[in-house]
Amino acid sequence: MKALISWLKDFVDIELSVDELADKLTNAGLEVEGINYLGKKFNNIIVGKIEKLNKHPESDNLFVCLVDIGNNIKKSIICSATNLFEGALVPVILSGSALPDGKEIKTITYKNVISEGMLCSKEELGLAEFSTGIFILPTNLKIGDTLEKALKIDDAVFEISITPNRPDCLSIIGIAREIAAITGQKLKKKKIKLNEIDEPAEKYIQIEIKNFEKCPRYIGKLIKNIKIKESPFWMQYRIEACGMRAINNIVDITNYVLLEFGQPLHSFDYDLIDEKKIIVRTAKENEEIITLDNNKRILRSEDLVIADANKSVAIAGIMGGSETEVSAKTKNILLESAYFQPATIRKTSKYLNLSSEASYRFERGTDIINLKFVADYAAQLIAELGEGQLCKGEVDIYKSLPAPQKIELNTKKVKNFLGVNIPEENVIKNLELLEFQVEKRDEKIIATVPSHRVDIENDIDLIEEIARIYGFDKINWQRPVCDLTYGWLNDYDKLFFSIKDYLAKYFYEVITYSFISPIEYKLISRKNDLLNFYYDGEILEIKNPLSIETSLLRPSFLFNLLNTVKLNINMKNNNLAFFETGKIFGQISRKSKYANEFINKDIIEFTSEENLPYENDFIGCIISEPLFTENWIKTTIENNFFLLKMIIEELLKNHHFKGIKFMPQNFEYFQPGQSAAILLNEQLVGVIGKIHPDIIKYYDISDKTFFAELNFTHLFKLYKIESNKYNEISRYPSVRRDIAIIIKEEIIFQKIKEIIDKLNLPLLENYYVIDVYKGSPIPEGYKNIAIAFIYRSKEKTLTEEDINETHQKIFNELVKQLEAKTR
Amino acid sequence: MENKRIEEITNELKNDIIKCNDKNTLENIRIKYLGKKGLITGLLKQLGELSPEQRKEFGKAVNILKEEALKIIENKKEELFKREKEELYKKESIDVTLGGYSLFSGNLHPLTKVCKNIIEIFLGLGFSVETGPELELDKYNFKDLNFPDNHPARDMHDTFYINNSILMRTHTSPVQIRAMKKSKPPLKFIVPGKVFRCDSDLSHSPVFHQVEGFWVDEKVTFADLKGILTIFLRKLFEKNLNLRFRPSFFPFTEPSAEVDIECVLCNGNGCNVCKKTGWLEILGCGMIHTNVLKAVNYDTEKYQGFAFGLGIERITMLKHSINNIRLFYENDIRFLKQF
Repeated sequence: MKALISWLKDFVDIELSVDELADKLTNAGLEVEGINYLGKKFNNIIVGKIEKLNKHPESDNLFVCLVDIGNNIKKSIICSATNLFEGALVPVILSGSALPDGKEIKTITYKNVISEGMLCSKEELGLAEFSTGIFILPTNLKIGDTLEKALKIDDAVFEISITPNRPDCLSIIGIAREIAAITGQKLKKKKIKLNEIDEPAEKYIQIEIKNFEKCPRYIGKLIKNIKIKESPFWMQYRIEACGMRAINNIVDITNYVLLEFGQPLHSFDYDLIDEKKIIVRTAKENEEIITLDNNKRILRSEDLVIADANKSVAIAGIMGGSETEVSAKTKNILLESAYFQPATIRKTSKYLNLSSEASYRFERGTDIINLKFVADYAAQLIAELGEGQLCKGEVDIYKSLPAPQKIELNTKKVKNFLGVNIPEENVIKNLELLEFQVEKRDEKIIATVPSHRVDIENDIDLIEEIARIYGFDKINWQRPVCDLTYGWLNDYDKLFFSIKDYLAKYFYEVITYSFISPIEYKLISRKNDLLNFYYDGEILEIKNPLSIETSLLRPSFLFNLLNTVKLNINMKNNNLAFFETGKIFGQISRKSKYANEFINKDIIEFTSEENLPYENDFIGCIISEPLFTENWIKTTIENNFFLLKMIIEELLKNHHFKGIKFMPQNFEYFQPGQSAAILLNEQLVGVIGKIHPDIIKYYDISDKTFFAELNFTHLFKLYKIESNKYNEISRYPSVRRDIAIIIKEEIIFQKIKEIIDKLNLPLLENYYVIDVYKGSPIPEGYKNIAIAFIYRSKEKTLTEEDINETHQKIFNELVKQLEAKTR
Repeated sequence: MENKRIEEITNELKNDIIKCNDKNTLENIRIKYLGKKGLITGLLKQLGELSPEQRKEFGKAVNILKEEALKIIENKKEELFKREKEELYKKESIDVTLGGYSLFSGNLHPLTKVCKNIIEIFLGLGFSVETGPELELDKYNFKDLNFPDNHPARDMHDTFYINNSILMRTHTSPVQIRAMKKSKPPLKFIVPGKVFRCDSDLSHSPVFHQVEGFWVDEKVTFADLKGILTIFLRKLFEKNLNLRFRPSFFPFTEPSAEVDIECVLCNGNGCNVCKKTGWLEILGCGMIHTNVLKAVNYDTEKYQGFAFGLGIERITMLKHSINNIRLFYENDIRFLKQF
C-alpha cells in the first residue's frame, strides 16, 4: 500500500520527520519498506512556458519549442509529444542535469535544430507509473521556479507492507488511524455536506439481492447530468502518487475514495442498465461477460455477478463489465457501494486468475457499516467535480447489519500472556486510541470493536493490540523460569547425524533439490517403474511445478548426484566424491522385486494413517573421476567398486551393524556384473554398483562412476541402540597360515565364506583374501585364490601343531565342497 | 733402536689412520698392526730375544703402543660409523615441503553445519528435536494452523501441490500440530527440516530449510519468547547483539512478531546487506494462536505457548557472507570445501 504523507495529514497531525514516522509505523507492525521523497527529485526541474511551438523543419513527427524559463532566458527544445500548445506551462529539465531516474540530459543537434533540454512527462518525473504526453502544469505557477517549490512538493510516499489480517490499513484513513494511535492523537473525521436534489434515487433504480450470504449489503446512488472530464490536479496528484492512473473525473473519484477509505466502489453508465434494475445474483453456469480489460470471462454458478434485467454488468467485487462502462458519452451515473463475502470474491478471483484493487480488499474484508458514508462521500464528489445533480438518498438493501462485537478481557491475562505488567489505565487507553469503546467491569474490561477492525475476534486479539501500541520493545526479555527440562536428540536423528559425520570424512555432503526431470527419469526408467531399489510404485508428480525439469519428486539420489558430478566435471574440479541424505518419495504400492527376494520380515510399513505418499530417509553416495589429485607420490589406491564398498562396509561396521553381506544382483542403473545388493542379516538395506554405461553416456561423465544407496529408515530398524558389551581380548599373539586353491571362475568369495563360517571354528579369528589370479598356468575357466587365516587362542600362544587340525579341516572342506584343486 | 722402531710404527699407524676412509681399510690396518702377524704383535714376539732389563723397559713401551693403537683404531671406527650414518641420513633426507598423499576427502554441507549448531544451542536450552514428513496434509500445513480455506493468508505461501489435499510442506510448523496431537504439555521442541515454495530468485530457493521452535506450557509468556530468542541469537552469532521485535502477522501466532538483529556485517551502522537500516530480518515468532491450540484440543484457558521459525539459509548466508542462495544447491566443490 502506498501512502502519501500530505494525504495522511488530512486525518492526522504529523510532527515527526518522515524517517521517524517510518520507524514508528514499522515498530507498530506496518512495515515501511520504502520511502519515495517526491520533492527532492525535483530541485533541478523548472517551470517553463512554451512561447512558440513549431513543427521540426526536417522531421514530421517532432516539434521545436521555444521555452521561456524565466529571467528572460529562452531555450530551444525538441519534443515529440502531441499534447503541447503555446502558452502551456511545462516541467523543463536543462542539459547537464539528470532526471529522477538518473538519466542525464545533454544538448544535442538533430537535423540542424539544437535541443538544450527536455520537457518531462509525469512518468519521467516518477509522479505516475504511466503517462502519455508532457505533464501540463497548472497555469498559476511562476515561470522559472523549481517544480519542488512551485508544486510545494515537500511530500513523500511510504511503501507499506500490509499483512493480510489488516485490510483496514489498505487505505489512507487506516494508516492515519494507526499514526493517530501511536502518536496519541484523535483521528480527524471527514465531514461531508450533501447537496441533493429532491428526486429520490429509488425513483430511478431498483435493487434486488438474490444471495444475501454472498452479498449482505448493496447500496446504489444516482448522480444525474454529469460531465466527463479530467479530474483536478490535486486529485490526480494524490492517486498517481499512490500508484493509480488518472483517467477521468468519475473513475478517478472512485479510485480516490477506494484509496482514502479502502472501500471499493463501482460506477455504471446508468443509461446502459436495462430496465433500471440491479440484481445481485450468482452467475448462470458458463455465463459470459466482457470485463473492463476487454477479456471475455466465463463464469460458474458459484460466481457472484451484478446484473441488470437482461445481462450481467459486473463480476461482483472484482471487475466491471465493458458494456456499462463509464465513457465520454456518459451522462448519468449509478454508483455502487457494496459488501461482498470475502471467500466468494477470493474463489472467483482465483478461478478467473483475475485480481484487482477491489478484489484485493474485498477478499480481505471491508467495513460493512461504513458503506453508506463512503457512498455519500463519493457521490457528493461526483456531483461536485462532474457538475451533476445528486439524487436524494440511496437504495440500500440488506437483511440485517451485524451488531458491534463486544469482547471481554480479564486484565490479569494481559500480564500472564505478555509477561509484562501494563497498568490497567494504559490497557484501556491503548484500546481507546484504536477507537475501541471500553467499559470497565470489576476485573474485566469489555471492548466494543470498531466496525473497520474485521480481524478482531477474541481477547488475545485485544492483547495483541495493547502490546502493539505499548511497544514490543518495552516488553523486557527474561530468562524463563521453569522446571528443568532435558533436551534430547532421538536415536534416529542421532544415528543419522553420526552417519553423516562418518561419510563427511570421505565425501562432500551435497544438498540438491528434491525434484528431478522427467527426461532424465525416463532415460533410466524404461519400464516406468519407480527406480527405487526398495519400493515399487509410481513416481510422484507436482501439480504446479516451477518448470517441467523440476516436476517429479526424486525416487532416488541417483539423478541429482549424477548432475552434481557433471557440474563439477564441467568446472574441472577433482575429488568427485559426494553423498546426500534426505527423503525420497513415491506412490508406493509394494516392495520391489529385489526387496521381496531378500526381506524376510515386514518391518517397514507402507502407508501412514493419513494416507500420505511414502517418504523414507535414504543415503546416497557417488564417486567418480577425477577422484584423486595427481600427485608426485604415485598412489596405489584405485577408483573402483571396492573403494566405494570399503567405505560403505566400514560405515556399517563402525556403527556396529552385524551380518553385513554384499550379494551379486543386477539393478537397472548399474552395469551388469558390477552391481550388488547390500544385506544386513539377510535383509536388503542398500545397493552398490558401477553406473550403467548407457547412463554414463547421457551425462557425459567418466565411466569410472560408482554409486551406492542405503535405506536409512530400514537401517535404523536394525540398529542396536544399547551399548556394546566388551569382548575380552586374548593376551596371546596370533598365527597366520595361508591356503591357495584353484576353483571355478564363477564361484564367488561369499560361497567360500559360507563354507568357512559354517565350520564354526573357535581358533579362527579372521581370514581374508590375499590374491585372486586368472590366466596361465591356471586352466581356462578357473582362478587361483589365496586366503590368509589368522588363528588365536585365549589360553595360550598357538603352535603349528595346535592349528594343524583346524587348518587342515578348512582346507579339506574347501577342496571337497568347491571341487578345488591345489597347485 | 727398539724405541726408534716404536716411534716408526707409531708414525706409520697414524699415517695409515689418516688415510683410512672405510671400514675394510680400517680392518686391514688393524690386521697390519695387531693381527697375528701384525707389526705390534711382531714387536711383542721380539721381547723374548731381549735381556730382562731391556725386556721390561721395551715391553712396557710396546704395551703402551698396543693400547694406543687399539684406541686409535677404535676411535677411527667410531668416526667411520658416525660418518656412515650421516651419509645414510643425507641420502634418505626428503623435501618436507612437498605435498602429502592426496587421497580424497569431504566435508559436511554448510547448511548441515549451521543446523547442527542451532540444534546444539537449543539442546542446551532444554529443547528436544522433533521431525515430520515433507509431504504434508493441507489440513496440518494450513487449516489447523489457522489458515482458513480461501483466506488471503494462504497467498503468503506459494505452495507446491501433489493433489488437492496433499502438498509439499511450506514450513516446518505442521510439526507443531503433529507433536501436540501426540502428547500433552509441557512441550519444548525444535523442528529442523526441508520446506518447499514455488519461488526462485537470488534470495529464494524452491527448496530451503527452516528450524521451527515451540514451547507450550502453563505460564510461557511473550517475555520468555524474547528471552529464549535473545539467548539463542547471541550464542549463534557469538555477539552481544541487539534485537528488535516488530509486530507482524502470521496466522498461527498472536501476537506475532518479526525479529531483526543488529546487522552483523556493519554492527548496525548501515550497509548494503541491511539496506542502510542497520537491522536484519532474521526470524518470525509469536504466541501460538488459540485457534491452533483448539485444533489439537488443548484447553486454551490452561495452556499457552510460543513458536518461532527461522531460515537456515538466511542465517548461513549472514554468517559466511554468501550472497546467492543457489550456491547451496549447486554443490560446486570449490564452494563446499570452504566450510
